[in-house]
Amino acid sequence: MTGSPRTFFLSAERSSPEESFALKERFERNEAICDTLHLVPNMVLILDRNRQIVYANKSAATILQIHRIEDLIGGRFGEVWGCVHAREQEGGCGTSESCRYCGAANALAQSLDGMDAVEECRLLIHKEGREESIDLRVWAKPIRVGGEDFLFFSAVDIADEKRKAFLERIFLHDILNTAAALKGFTNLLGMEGVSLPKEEMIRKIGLLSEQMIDEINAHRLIIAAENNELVVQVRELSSRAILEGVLKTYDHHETLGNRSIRIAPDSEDAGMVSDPTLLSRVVGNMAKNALEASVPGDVVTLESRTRGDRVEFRVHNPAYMPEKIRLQVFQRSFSTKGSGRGLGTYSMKYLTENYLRGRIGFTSTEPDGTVFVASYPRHWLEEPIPGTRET
Amino acid sequence: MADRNPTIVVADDEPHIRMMMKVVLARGGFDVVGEASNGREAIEKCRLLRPDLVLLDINMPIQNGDEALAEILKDLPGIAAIMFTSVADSMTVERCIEMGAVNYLRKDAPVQQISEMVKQTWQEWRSRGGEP
Amino acid sequence: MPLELLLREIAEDELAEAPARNEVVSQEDIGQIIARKRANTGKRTDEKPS
Repeated sequence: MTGSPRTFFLSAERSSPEESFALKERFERNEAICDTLHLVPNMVLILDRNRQIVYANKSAATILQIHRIEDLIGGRFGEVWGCVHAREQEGGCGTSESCRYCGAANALAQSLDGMDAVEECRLLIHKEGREESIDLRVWAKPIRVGGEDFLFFSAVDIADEKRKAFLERIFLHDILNTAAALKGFTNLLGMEGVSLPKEEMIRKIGLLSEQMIDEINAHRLIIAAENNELVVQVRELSSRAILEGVLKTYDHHETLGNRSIRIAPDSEDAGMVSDPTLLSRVVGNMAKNALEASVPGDVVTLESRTRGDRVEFRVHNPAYMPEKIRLQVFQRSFSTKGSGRGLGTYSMKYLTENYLRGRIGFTSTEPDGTVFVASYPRHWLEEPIPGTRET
Repeated sequence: MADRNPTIVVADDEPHIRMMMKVVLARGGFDVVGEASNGREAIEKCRLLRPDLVLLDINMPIQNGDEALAEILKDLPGIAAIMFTSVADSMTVERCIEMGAVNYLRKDAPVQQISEMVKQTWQEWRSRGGEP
Repeated sequence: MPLELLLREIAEDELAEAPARNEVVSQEDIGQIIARKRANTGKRTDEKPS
């Protein structure tokens, strides 16, 4: 079998351009089918037995940002998407080592065996000089049209679905935790020989109930934001009032452990126009993250500053995190593995950038520790005019 | 040695759960000698305090309980490590037991049952000479 | 590091690690899993420290 191109998974054999276009023409004779395919809102590709495109619907062209369907003919799925592995081997899409783990390649393999397949596929593609991830669900089925065998292939973007599932997982974890604690203290109330006074347990039950409501509301907020249902309600507010609200939420000794939280004595009180609920959510999450990143004995400091026509909310903790550890620490902090922190960071950025017209970032240095900074325009409707400053 | 209370470290990122378990375990005759709110702290506390048992939540910031489990068992091979979690799936249970956890408890069990299970686990652990 | 980049990496890392859905187990099930594992693997050979 010399001369046959190398492959780590699917066949590297390719149809020639002439063969591909000939197949395209034969497929196009089935006008009713072609017309129907163009009505389908999802991307549909018709492939030959070498997994090369002989036909594509309009949605495919739109999604792949191709002007003419002809430009897709003869290409393979990964190639037309710009998959980073598509050019690793001479044989193209389906022939690299990584292709063995690809959902699309596996779906196609199944359909070549005569089966209907549906798989999830995470594509890493080259886009505008950087790599981007696309989450897709793909279907592949063998079909017979006009007496010839083809493969029907369809793909749908499921990034939203995955993100929602991710948020739900975090939410469920958090709320189950709170519910377990609530149940536990309620049980203890009815027991003898418990070292905690009943008043204390009743107080805890109250706190936990509030916490549970807060978790549910936080989740509702982010779901509404995701569904573009969130309506921003702006009014005049004081930055100090926001900080005080956050302080009140976190200044319980149970939450703090051996850490403490305070407002910087020289914190400015800036008047501004924004949505206090969303702002409180963002600054609250910054504080939560700072507390969790701190070690016992640390003080988390909240501050607000005016900077020209913007108001900054700064949350400081003394821990310095070198870049390598910072990435690792915040990976855990921001992930489902730490309860709710992924949601906190995600919603911080989402709300700030998509709803509050702000920016958010952080710095971490050895002498100064870590500071999260969220900056917002003071005046809601005015866009800052380049080259001028508001006082 | 047989007459002193068994010592235990409680690791959970939710402060209310920690408080609840302190009360429950004290009632069950255990001495809660330390607390941790993340996996890394759990490893440090166990190293420092060398408790007889450790109760480990799985989902914690900085480091998970199941990752901390491996480290803790390396430091203290004779410790009775009990996983304690709000969500239990078969894969995670199997993995933790394979790694050497002695038991795996769901947080939503009634506290009386949790207390009983920890006591029972400890008694069985001791009667097996500290081996699974 | 810009927050956007960090969050993107984290979100992708997280989604990539998302565990396959598998059966949620009751406390009773857990007991059975443990009993089964013990029966299969037998005793460990490490010793309890003195």
